[in-house]
Amino acid sequence: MEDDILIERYLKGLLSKDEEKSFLDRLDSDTDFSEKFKLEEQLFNSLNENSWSFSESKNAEVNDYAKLLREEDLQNLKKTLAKTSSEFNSKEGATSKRLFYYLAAASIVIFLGFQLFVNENTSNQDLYNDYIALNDLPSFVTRGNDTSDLARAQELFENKKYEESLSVFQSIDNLSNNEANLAIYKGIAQTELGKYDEAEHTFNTLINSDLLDAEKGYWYKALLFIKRDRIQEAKSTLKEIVSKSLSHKDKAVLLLDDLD
Amino acid sequence: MTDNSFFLEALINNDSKVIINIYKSNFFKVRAFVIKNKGQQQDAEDIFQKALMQLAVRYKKEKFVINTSFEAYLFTVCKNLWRRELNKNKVRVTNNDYLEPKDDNEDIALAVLEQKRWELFTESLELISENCKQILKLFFAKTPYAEIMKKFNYNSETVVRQRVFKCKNSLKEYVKKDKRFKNLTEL
Repeated sequence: MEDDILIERYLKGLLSKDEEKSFLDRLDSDTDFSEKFKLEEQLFNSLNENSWSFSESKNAEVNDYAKLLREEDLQNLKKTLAKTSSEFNSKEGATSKRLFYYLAAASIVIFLGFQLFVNENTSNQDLYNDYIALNDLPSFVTRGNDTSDLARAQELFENKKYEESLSVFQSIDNLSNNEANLAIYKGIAQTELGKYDEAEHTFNTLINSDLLDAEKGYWYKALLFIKRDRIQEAKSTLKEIVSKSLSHKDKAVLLLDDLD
Repeated sequence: MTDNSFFLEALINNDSKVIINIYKSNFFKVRAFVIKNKGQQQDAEDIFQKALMQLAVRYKKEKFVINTSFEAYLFTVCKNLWRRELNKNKVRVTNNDYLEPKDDNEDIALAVLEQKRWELFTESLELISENCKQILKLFFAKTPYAEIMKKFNYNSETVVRQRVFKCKNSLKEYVKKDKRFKNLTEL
């Protein structure tokens, strides 16, 4: 019991300088005492809510865990977690709905304007416009200092400078917060510029990503197919949305009816 | 497959849909805890990721079983990881033997071992008598003997000391008897 009290006083920092020195000397020379002390210390630090018992030596088990953690599958999990965390928490941030409405409205105006100059299959173009207009475009999240870039892209959009607005979208699409939303806007802008293959590539990239909103890519790709009069592909994409219950399923059902 | 191993399987299979659901049902509680305890949003995000990595590597190595709900267990691991972060500076200053982990992976590996040791101690604490458990909880929280004496109506501080001594020995017996003891304590 004497040793217990001694150890306790040491752990509470109550020993005098001299006492502490002889305590530490004894730890070095007396194995039994040292073992007793270590367990006491671990209990003391583990079970006190204000402290924590750290591992000092790196035993075989720690090496095994570290080795497993360095393997590819767990490194991939680490990436998934980082991505999920960033997307999940950016959705939590302050969202700027206002900018989204501006962009949505601007894009509708542009689509309608664009229509006047393009002589394509009218009914399919109408369908495209109807559905892209009905659709709620995802909202941009403003966090950090990306607001000014998005505002700039919006202004360019409103001024019908699609090429320039696209280049701004492309310059900011590495921001992980907005990746899915930016891909959608980028793809729509490319569609408007007649860069159909690029737009298709943009939507495919979105679909194949592991972003939270990756599945929305199917809907926009289906609309792109309609715009290009590739109706069979549009239908099969829409059917996939319906059968897998993906995002925009209800609209896909309606659009399929319209196509028949 | 129980519900608990469902989430653990999803982690080692890198199943992003399930992982999102884990975030949806658990992250806010952890964030509230971290922010209430001197932390920031970013700390909560880091802790949460480390906790999930810890569960994944442990499950991959030894297919361990969670006896409570997955949510409760994950929260405990997060709480302990945050305690660990808060105490890192202290251990750097006071312990000359403390070696900085080489990298993030080694840090997580060490945290797994420490978590397992904490589990051994906490579970052992549940095996001793209720009276002993209460006394030791106060003792480890550094409650003064005079206060423990009052609370339990003991006659003197010496009686409290004897009681602490007895209870601690009984706790240590359970700890030492456990087959996990050898691997987890570095004596």
